[in-house]
Amino acid sequence: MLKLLQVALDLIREAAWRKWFLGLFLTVTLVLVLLGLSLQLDVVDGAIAGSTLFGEVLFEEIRTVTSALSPLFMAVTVAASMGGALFLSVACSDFAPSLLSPGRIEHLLSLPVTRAQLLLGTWLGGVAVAAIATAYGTLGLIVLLGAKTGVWNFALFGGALVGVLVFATVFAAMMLAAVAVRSAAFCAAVGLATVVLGIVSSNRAAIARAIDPGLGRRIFEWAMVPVPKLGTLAVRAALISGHRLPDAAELLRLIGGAGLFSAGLLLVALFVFERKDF
Amino acid sequence: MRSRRWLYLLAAAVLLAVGAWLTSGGDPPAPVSFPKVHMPRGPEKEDRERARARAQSQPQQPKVVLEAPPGAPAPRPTDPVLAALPPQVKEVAMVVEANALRNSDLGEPLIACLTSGGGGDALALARDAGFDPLTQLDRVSMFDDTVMLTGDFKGLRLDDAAAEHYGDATLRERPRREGDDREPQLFATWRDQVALVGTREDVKHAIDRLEGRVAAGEQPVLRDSNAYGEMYGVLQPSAFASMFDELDPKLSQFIRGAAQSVELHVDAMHDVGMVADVKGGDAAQVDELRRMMGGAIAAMRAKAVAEGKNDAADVLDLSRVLAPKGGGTSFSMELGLPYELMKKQLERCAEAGKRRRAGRAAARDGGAG
Repeated sequence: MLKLLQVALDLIREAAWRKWFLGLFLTVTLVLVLLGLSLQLDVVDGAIAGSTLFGEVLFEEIRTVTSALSPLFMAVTVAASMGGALFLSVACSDFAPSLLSPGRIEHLLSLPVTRAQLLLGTWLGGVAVAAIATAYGTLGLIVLLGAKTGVWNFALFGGALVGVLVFATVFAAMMLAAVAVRSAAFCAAVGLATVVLGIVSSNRAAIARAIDPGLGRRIFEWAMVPVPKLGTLAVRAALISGHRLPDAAELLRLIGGAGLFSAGLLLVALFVFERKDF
Repeated sequence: MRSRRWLYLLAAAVLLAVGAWLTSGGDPPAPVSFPKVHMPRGPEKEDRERARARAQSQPQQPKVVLEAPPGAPAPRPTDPVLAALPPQVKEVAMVVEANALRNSDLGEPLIACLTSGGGGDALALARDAGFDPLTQLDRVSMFDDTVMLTGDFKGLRLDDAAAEHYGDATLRERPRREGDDREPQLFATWRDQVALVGTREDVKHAIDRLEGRVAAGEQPVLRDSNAYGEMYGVLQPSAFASMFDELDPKLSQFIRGAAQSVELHVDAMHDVGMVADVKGGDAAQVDELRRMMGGAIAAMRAKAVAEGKNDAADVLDLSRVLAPKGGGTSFSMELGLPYELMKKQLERCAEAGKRRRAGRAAARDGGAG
């Protein structure tokens, strides 16, 4: 377990020196600073009596802080879950391929680390990078809006956690792609495709209805069976952020489905990885 | 080593299969919907159709007031409920579309609540007298201390020995309860379509207005354009302020000074949406009042959350105070009560009423035994 964490920590260190991630953290910081300077909220006894963004009036009506800010928290959660998964699909695409690069993999395998630890540690490191970036942005938003309104929405952390699960699933698919074909571009493509498939899977019933009944529809329905509903998961994460608790049983099914899909893909990746000669 | 590898594949297949079952089994994810309550912001198709149907079916007022010349004030409403209203009220004038409410989605639970306790006895009394409020009552209007009912009163059987007549109305003195030191109350019926309860003077004035015996320029406190929603009316600032007496005495005091009148509309065909249009004189005071009202809603919400009353907190999240209008001298407040919450509350009310009734019956039986 310790070795697995060490592998993950090494990956986080590596990520910290990459321009992609410096850019990500700078962007999040810049957005928070801009929001802090330009968003003016007129707060009266726990109610928002109007707001302006860059001097433009957003709304003039008076609402409770929760009802006024819930849509913002929900939109941020969906954008961060799906947008973050897309961004990190590209930004993290060469983590696994570089692990397998000639020279490095031989060196790593000469260390007292099993292949399973290497693979799972890399996945865990990628997920940890996503979690750190999400936690940074989430904490920033909570502090910023909390200081402006006096209402501290820690439910945003719950939504963010479910949002990170979306990327964890995508990254598991990328790990499998990396051990199968050692290519950063292919890895990124698989990551992006997983996000898109996750959205398609979330709307599978509506899409199936749009396909003519017959073999085509049947193939689509069967193809979608194992694909986790990542879009729905992101929406449920948004509901948590917005203090609208989704149906617990449904949420557990969605999380369980995505989690087992990730675990299954990681085991297939491990199977492929174990068979490789370096 | 080789067998362990295949074990990975086997475990992966099992996990993917269980994952697929979790993802695809069960009910499909419910579409996300946000509570949205319809607010009565103006007359709608239903309101207009209701008004049109009434104009055709109900007896018209005699045209005592002559046709107005061009530029003269608008004609008085022909709707008897509006026509009977005084030009001004001391506290409140409110009209309830009882028949519409009865036939709304909340109608059944509302009736169950109203008739579960003492209301059930009142209903039985009215039915014994030949009037079934559940099928024959159309509207109820209240203006200060007078109550007016419209509907079908043809079957009403009352002791008319001591009755007197005033215009087309029959007036009867209401028997006084022991210890009741209020001014004597009259019960009047007008053309079998209207019943009035109030003091002699108020009832006679209402009949005068019904029959068109008013000054040419006099207008009722509510006009045709105000008659929309299942409840509508106007409150004087003191009546509106008294709603906040306990919650926020400072706000209550401020309302009395800053507001001139409050017009209320309630839509209750499915959810319950309330819109209160608050009018004042001074724009700065009105804006201050607006902010205080917003603050009061937020304070109520915070209190509800602290007390674990999440339903109430959710309701207050649907409330808002809209931007000022009319040059800053008026604003609207909206409050939404979702259907499910209302239904739950009404069902609780019915249960509590039944328990009270059963308790009273048991006490009576115990006393008799």
